[in-house]
Amino acid sequence: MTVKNALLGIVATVALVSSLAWPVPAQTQKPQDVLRIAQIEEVFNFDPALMNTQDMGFLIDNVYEGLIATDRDTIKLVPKLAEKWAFSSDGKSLTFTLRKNVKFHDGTVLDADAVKFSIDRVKTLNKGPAVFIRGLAGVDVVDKSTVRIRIAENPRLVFKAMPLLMIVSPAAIKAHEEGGDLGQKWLQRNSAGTGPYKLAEVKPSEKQVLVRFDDYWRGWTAGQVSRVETLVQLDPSTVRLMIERGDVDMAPIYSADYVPALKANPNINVYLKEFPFPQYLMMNTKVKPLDDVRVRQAIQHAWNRKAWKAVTGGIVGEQLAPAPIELLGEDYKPVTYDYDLDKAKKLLAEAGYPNGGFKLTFTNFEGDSTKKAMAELLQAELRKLNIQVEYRSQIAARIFEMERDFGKTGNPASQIDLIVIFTPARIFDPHNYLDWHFNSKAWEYGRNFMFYANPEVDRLLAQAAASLDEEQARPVYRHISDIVMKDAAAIMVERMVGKMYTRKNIEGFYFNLKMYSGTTTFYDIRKK
Amino acid sequence: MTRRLLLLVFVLVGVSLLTFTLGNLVPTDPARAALGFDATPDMVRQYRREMGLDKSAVVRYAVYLKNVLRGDLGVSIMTRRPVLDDLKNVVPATVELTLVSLVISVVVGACLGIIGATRRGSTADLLSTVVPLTQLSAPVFVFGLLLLLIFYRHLGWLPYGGRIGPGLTAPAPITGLYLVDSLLRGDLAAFRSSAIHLVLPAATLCNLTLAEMTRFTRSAFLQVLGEDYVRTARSKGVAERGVIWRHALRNAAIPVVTVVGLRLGFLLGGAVVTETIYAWPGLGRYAWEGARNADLNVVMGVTLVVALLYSIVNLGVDVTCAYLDPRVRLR
Repeated sequence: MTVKNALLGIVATVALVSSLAWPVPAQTQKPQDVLRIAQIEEVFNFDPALMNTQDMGFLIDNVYEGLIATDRDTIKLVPKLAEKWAFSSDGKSLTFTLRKNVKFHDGTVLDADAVKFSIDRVKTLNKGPAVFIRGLAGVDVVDKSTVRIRIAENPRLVFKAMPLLMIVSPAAIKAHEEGGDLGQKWLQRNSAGTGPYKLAEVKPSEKQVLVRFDDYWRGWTAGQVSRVETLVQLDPSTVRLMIERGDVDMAPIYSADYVPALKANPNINVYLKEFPFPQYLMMNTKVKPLDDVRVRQAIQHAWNRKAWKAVTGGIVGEQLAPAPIELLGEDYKPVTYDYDLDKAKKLLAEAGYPNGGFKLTFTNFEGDSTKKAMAELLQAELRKLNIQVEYRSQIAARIFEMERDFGKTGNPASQIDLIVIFTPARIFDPHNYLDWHFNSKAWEYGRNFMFYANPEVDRLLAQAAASLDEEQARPVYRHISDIVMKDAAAIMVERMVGKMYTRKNIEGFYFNLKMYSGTTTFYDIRKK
Repeated sequence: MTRRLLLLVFVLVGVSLLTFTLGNLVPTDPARAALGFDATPDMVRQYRREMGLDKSAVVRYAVYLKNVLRGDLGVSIMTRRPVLDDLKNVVPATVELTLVSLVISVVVGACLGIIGATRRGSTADLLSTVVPLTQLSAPVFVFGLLLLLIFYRHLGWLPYGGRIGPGLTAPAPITGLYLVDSLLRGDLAAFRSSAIHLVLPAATLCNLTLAEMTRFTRSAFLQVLGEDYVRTARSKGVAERGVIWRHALRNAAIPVVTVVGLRLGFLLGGAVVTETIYAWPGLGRYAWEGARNADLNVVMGVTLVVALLYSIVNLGVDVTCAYLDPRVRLR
């Protein structure tokens, strides 16, 4: 083997490969009416009765619709498949009048039977959104265009959960049912909704394709996209290159690190918006020394909001109350803890730890770099109080199991001292946040990592949940907020800031407040 | 051969039992992992009943084995699809990437190794060692992103990832290998696109193997070139080219084939980082996501497949060695 022969061989190989490369296949060439979006967390589920946080952004208002929806710019509920609705005076039923001449993807027409079928299906499968309609007793068909929801308890919360209940075509489901599965298998590759787009293709780990539903009830105008391709790409660095090159039209990248560089790119629009999705740094109130409210308050005073803002490059939303301020009222003044290490030291001394001298463990979700940065900041600040914070990470499934194990048995191996929990807004109601984290029983189903237990709070939560009138419930939720903040079990770290990058020729993008997962309503997108 | 097949069955059963046992010892609840943290206790109980998770571990394993014999590897709680269907997508993707990457590593590595051995101590020898080692020193994710930055972002010569251009349809599967299937279907556009999409991921994966191939080939050749029969061939006046190709190569190939086999088996287990950077829908990413989501069916399925692939590769290595060295008897 001579050097010359070897080099010739390598050059020949490169030439052969290069000859394949030109002309470059149509990676960057795409028709004007195709929208390509990078999907940084793969959507696995396409059945609206099984939806979790990730799927919602893809399915709701794109493939499926509910009787009501969340307004695009506020958290108010607006008509969708229902034109109007009314509560009975006792709050035990909610009657919807359906929109007429709405078609499903299979061509059948929306009617009250379809609504009943869809909601019954969610209750029977008892997954995903079913958890939010536990107070829903049943559905009655009044006439073809009228349906009555019977409510056993918490009518306000049932109503607010209605945007999560997607209406499906009974005919399509029944025609494709397998072994009594209510169409679950079929819906993973097909759609049976009323939304503007139909599910056309799912290539696992690669992409999903939606195509325009020509008979969509809102109609179509020029400039709207007729095909949406979501390309699964889990690596944010690669996604950045893709949006810079124009191989995708839209890309969500959760890390704030990319914002400055992409803002400086003249071909890219950067959208940032605060979401009503708080992140709480929770302290386990069942373990020493965190069982002492003074210790918890001391740690509250050690959380440095200014430093956290600097770490995130200023791209962080302020969260001071245990529920979003827009739900508690903009005039609400929450109990807060300013950054003050002297106050912290005083409180620790009162609690019997004048020199700190104890260790806590911060448990993080595997791969979550943002929460890791929070842990590092807290470590640095608590070190000043001579409190050691040990960091560890676990997969999510293990963390939730540890929580339940500790709650049931007190097993020290399952003890989680500190953890940051993100709260998506499935329903826009203070109850969604306060009950989730501060109900003493909530640890049994993967919430309340603090094991916070206050009978007064439990009583107030039940009272507020039963109130039909949001305005009537608000003072109760404010009172709950005051109590839990004084008990200092959770530090209000931040509210999430959604980040979306689009090419300059994309118009009509807006953040749907439910859709932190980085999608939008494709129907509103135009490509110039 | 019969003995090896029986051994294979034994290995697969043993691997499945070990994985199942370990999977059940990990303190996570697959029902809760599947339903998400919102799930109420009654939702979890219902799911456990539906999926047979309320049965004892022994019963569940027996059911699993029975189903495996019928070709049913269970349903993934993560993807909600049959694990077998998922594997039918991801295994060919990984096989294709691995084979292409390994062919590049072996060919280029062998060339560099032979140059190094035959020009020992020269500048060519130095370069043939330093270049692959430098490449190996760069972590895979750095190397991969660097290639993307240069060849995709700035030059625009090669695509960002995936197996085929988004505007094209994958060839209807025969083998699942896009290069092969597109040729068999006569779809030249798909062939070109698939080939181009392989370049960067394969080059990145070479990061793991090229230096090794170079060093092994060089060592093997150096050893063989010092043998008596090579000295005899030279003294008989055989041209150097003949010495290398007719006498040395076949004998030097045996240890290299063994290393190739080990590497192939390793890579077939999937390369998570490469697959993530290039959105390559392969086994590594699938296994990683399955483990992260405590999806025991996925972990079991992947383990069985990887064990099977390893066994096939080992058999291939043994057959090749027997062919190269008649003194080795294949039993």
